[in-house]
Amino acid sequence: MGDLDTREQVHPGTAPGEDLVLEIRGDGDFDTADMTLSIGPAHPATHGVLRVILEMDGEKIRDAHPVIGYMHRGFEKLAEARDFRQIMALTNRHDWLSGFSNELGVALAAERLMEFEVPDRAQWIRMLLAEWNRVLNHLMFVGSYAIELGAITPMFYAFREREDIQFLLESATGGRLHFTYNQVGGVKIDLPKGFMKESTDLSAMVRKRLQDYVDLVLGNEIFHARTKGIGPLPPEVALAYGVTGPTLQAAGVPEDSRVTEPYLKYGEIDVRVPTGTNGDSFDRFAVLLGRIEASLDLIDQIHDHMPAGPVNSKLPKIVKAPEGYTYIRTENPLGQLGYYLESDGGKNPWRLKMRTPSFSNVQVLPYLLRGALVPDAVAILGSVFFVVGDVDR
Amino acid sequence: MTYPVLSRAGEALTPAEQEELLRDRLGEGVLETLDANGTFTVTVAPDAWVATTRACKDEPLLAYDMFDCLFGVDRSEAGFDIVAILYSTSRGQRILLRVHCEGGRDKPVCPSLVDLYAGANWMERETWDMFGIEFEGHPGLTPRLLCAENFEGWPLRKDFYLASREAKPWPGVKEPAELDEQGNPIVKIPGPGEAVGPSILDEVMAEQAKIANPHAEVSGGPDATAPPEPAAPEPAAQTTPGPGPSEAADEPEAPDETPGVDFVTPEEREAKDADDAAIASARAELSRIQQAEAREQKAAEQAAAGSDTPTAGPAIPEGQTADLRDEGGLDERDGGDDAQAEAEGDDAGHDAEEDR
Amino acid sequence: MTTVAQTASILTLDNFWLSVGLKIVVVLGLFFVVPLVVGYMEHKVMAHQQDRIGPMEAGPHGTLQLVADGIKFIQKEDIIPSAADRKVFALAPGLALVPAMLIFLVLPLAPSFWVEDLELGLFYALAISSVSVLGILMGGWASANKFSLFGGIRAAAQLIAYELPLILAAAAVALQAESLSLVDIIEAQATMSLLGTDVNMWFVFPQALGFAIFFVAAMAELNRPPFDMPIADSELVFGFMTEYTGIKFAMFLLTEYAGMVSMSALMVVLYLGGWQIAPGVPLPGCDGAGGIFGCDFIGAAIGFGVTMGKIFFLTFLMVWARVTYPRLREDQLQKMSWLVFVPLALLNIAVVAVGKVFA
Repeated sequence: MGDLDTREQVHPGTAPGEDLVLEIRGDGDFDTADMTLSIGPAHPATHGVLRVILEMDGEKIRDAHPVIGYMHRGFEKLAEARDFRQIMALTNRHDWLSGFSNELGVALAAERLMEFEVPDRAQWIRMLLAEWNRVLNHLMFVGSYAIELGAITPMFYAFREREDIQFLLESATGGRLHFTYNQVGGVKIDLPKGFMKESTDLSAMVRKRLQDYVDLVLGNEIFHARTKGIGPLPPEVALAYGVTGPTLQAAGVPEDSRVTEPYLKYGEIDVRVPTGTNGDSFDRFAVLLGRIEASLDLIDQIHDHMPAGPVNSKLPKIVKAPEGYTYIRTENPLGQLGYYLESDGGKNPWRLKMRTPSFSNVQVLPYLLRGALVPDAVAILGSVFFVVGDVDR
Repeated sequence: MTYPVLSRAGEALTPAEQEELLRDRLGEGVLETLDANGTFTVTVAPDAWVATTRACKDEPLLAYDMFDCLFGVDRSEAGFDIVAILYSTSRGQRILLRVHCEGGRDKPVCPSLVDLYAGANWMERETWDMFGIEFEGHPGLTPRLLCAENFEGWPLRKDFYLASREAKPWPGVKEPAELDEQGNPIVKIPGPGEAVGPSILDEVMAEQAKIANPHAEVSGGPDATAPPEPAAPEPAAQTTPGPGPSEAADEPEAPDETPGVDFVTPEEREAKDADDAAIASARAELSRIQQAEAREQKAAEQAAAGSDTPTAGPAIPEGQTADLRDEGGLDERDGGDDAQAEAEGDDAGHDAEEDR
Repeated sequence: MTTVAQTASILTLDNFWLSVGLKIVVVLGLFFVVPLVVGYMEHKVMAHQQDRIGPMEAGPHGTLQLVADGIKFIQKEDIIPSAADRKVFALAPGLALVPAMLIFLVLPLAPSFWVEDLELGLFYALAISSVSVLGILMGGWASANKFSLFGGIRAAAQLIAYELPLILAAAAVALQAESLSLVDIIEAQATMSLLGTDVNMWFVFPQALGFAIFFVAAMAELNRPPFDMPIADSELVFGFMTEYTGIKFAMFLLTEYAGMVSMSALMVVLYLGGWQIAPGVPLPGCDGAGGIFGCDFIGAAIGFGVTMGKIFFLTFLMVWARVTYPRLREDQLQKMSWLVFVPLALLNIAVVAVGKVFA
């Protein structure tokens, strides 16, 4: 190889049996070949089908290229052929751990375009279920992050809580994962009898069990050693990439849609936003646990505020949105989910753009992974919370 | 150290002031602004795209430090628009920047924002992947971000049809709704942006569902008086096999559907909707009367038996669906649901527009 | 140096070949039965600590689960990656397994129940356990898989790093017992008197630090969590064992469980007084040295039970640690070994030496 530092742009294909391209650097008269390691797409550490190609020097990572699109299902195109009732069932599914919050965003966007008045009780019910959905989502990541680091027990405890919460949500909506409970103008049907009491009891129990995670994981010295100082994310970089949610709050930016742009009735209750200091993996996990507790506080407040009344409004036979467009952003468990809804006056949207939190969170991975070791790569991958369906839509 | 979120919320510029500031900086670059539906949009000329974004980012009064997203919108014959959404954490406000891409539909191009916001990288790659819009100055638009590597075509363009049944017809047994009287598959040519399969299929299937499950106990009166709808549809055009003409009360959803013909025109649809509405409201009226009678009767019985019923009361008015459900249990909710559905005959797509 | 006359092992018969046959049978029996029981215990303990119940189907309460697993492994297809080095690939599990089996030769489990009482018993046990590293390294290299290579290299580095604290801790015990023979060490604990008084105690009391170091180093030697970086299944799929299937894989697993048993047995012998029920308490039916030698059948049976109980207690601790702790990163592992354990082990030796001179 010559004297110049030639660096090929490595763009790996996805065909099976592809050649691994080695990148030859000419360092004076010493040629070294770095190893290219591909994590994924099927790998225990990545949540779903995400492929990260690491260029490595021994165990140190020199560069990382995430390859996404394995789960691209064309949601935005499908949404252009669905009316506003069918879209609810569609948007459940891109971030399947936060199905309710996704539907909520679309419903709010459509209601804003149509200038629909949503009854109070419907708004409070939406908030209650959205917060339970948040707890459900965060518990999942608590369990999965711990198991990636080798602690196998918190996963089972997290799922124990998740089962109870899913049972509660099933009693109201009929679904454990995909709720399809929102509709334009409110929620489909009222909460069943006894729901509020169950919800109160469950919130107390989850709060009590939250201590298990603090003791078992957050206070564990080995956990500290594995996550403190790993993958720090400065706030300016995070904002330039559009990172949101626990990842951004751990970087020290208390940017939470429920506080900065209150929707539904979040303006009337006290929303606490836990923030980190360094933006490293430890802070991200601590913020996650803090958000669970904050959501439980919110749930208790919502219990006190829940009014009586109707839960949906009369809809016209065909739900049509007037011409125009709007952009609405809600605080999903993983970050801020934005929906750009443009309508041409018909019953299907002309353009529905889903600005998903995981897409931006995954985009920042190369920045975090550069210079890290391979075991740290797993710690970082797990701490930047994302769901692959959300990344690819 | 906490980032100063909402630290200057009180000093946020109003949309008019922002427009003034941007026009001052960019002059002719700013084409128009729009403040509607809770969003403030500034449409700029393509050569001012980067300058406007830079102004939004760097101007101390604007301070849009967070890059939200960037995507394309298909404008049919007019070409493509790019929309970039920026957010200011210190002021708590958002701006949408819109630009119309040069090059029309054949070779749309747009300058890249990667130097200003790192997050624009993947957003522009995705927009290129979906629409085919080239971004000048982008470090590397290939390989395709979301689609498969060897994919051909730009999926989100309106002239790219959803290929649900177009690429290959369903090889299995066809459902009755997809076959016409002679047993040939119904072929429908979709309009731009329309799906081939589901939406028309839903209507036809809803039609058949209604025929198979007539609400006999309710449709006592109006049936005789209801005129059998946009009329005597030609038997050849009847997409519902079997007991079509005899169920005149259940007006067929798409009686004009002949195999291979386009959608009904909007005017015809309007007329049909109006008639549907008339029928349905008449039916709803009747059911309401019947429900009220049933309730009074039940109340009388239970008063005679001496027990309390929580749901004794007047007929439930429209729109008030939840008051009684609050007290009622699951069983009552189930029982009440049917009653409610009948009472609000034409609402929320329960009956008439079943699966539209 | 044997001190008081101990009864020879009952396995040493007059007929040499009969004796050899019996010893082989005993070793194989112990080797195949006890790890399976430990494995079953691990399933159940892990399950209950994770709020579930574990295997229940195979046999009553799932007792035959590992037998079923063994049969499953035996009937699996043996897949060898095409790029693998066939001979090395095939030899690696055996090279890891046989040393684990050979440790059982020197472990004294009950009065008069040991296969061989070598004069260098402790030295032999520690030396032979180090040979397994070769098998792991061979497995990692021959698999022609980057993840396996990572696992193999990590294992080699880790096992070498933790040999030293292990050996140093054991050396302190040998120092205090004045012998390398495992039977002698047990006898020393039974007859030891503390600082001239009549108080009898096990080595774990004066050498608690050594015990802790030995326990942690043993877990690291066995690739048990929290030291299972070489296996690290969330990063390396299954480390050096990734490409192995069927009986070869089962051999690696058996090595791990047999290692748990043998390391625990070593700890019992070195620190917990062997088959003695409690310090100073003689076994019923024994009239030999320290009240634990020269026993009749009842005494031997009780002694065997006591040893097994202690072994299961220690393996329970290992399983408990597995369930609770996340994984340590490789460099943190190394740091801990070289900067913490080795100095502490040396300190332990120094203290024991001083104590030995003056007491």
